[in-house]
Amino acid sequence: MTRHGPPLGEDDLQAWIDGRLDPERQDAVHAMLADEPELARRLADYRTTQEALRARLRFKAAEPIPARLRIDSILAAQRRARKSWLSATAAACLWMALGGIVGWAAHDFFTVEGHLSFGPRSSAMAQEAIDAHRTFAVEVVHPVEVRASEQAHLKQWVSKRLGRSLQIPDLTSLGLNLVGGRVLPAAQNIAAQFMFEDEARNRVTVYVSTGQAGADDLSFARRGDVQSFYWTEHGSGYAVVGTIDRARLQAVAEQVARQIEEVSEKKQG
Amino acid sequence: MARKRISDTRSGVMDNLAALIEPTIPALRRYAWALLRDHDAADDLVQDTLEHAIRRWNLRRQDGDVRSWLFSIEHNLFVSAKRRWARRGIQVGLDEARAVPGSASPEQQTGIGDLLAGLDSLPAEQRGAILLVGVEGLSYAQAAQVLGVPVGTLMSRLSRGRERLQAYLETGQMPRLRRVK
Repeated sequence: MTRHGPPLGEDDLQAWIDGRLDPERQDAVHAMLADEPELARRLADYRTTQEALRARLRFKAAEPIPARLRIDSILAAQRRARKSWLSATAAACLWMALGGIVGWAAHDFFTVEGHLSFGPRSSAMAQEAIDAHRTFAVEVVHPVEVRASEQAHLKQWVSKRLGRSLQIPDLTSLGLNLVGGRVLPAAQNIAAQFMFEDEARNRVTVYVSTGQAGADDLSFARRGDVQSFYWTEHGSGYAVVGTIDRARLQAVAEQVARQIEEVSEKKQG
Repeated sequence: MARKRISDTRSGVMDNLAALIEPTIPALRRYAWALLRDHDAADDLVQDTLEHAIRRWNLRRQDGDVRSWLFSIEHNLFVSAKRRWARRGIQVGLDEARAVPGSASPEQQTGIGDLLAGLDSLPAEQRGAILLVGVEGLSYAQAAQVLGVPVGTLMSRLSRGRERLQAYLETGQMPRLRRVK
């Protein structure tokens, strides 16, 4: 063959079967098939089989969609689950408030109220993460307990303290390098904080806390100039905290979530 | 309240969520059924996929294609569920004798068992490649992304899968594994 362009390959033949040949490859492939009737016959068979398969499976896509697969019904079910959780939480808060009124003077109660969180527990987790960020992100000398140079040790130590295997997120593709990490007390549990830093010395922390029930989707919280995207998954709460702009912080959160997802998927296998 | 603000934006997002996801549901059901060959199990897989997608809606790549994102979720759920079943000793998708419902004409009927049985006996990764490209019409790049492999790997899975399927249809048995090229 005296055609220009790279030599024909298996992917050209597949593209011919799928009818997706680039126009400039078309002539070359057709010339080749004219020279090799055996190959041409084989490819035509593949194409016929492919069409038969498509025809055979067509009925499934033509079926009416069952009610349970409607987005509306799935959303409604998720909302119901959330609502029953919220009302249980609200009831618990009410009892706590009653206890507060009985036990303490009214002004004591009201000063506490500013810190009470009526949202799901994960937003309390976000507050802890923000507090932890505020405490350590400003540190110059001791921002972390274990430095990134001892990453393997950090991973092992944190995993041991949290009682579950933890993967330290890799955010280098977003220009954030690991500074290190530490273990922290959280409400009834233990949390880990990993700190990252970009070239301009902006710091982002990733906070992981165990013992978080349910699976909440991504939420956003802000306190002062510190912002956080947080979610729960597989019994752990995650928060990505920083003062960088919101879109960039969200990109970091998405990256972290994706990496956790990948690891947990691998682990299930 | 930060929490409140999120809820507000979320309800706006949910409006177009149905509009973006629902057109793909028939294709998701077809892919699930082709992989599992059981109507209820297939719809369970689709439901899982949709629940997952709704919870992750904010995490998807904004510039990405919703359709291939949904197929990725479905495929990953299928792969991890299959591993779980395999651990518990449940066989999946091997029941070739199962009656195939659907309205097929008699002349189609003769070839049917063979075609679907041939598909079933392919390695899962080749089946995925053939279905995503040939039936669902994903581009090579999209299908590679769904299966989590480079495009080159997808092309060779496609090529080997088609070759094996054809050999099965012609001889009624699977060719022995051999290295191609």
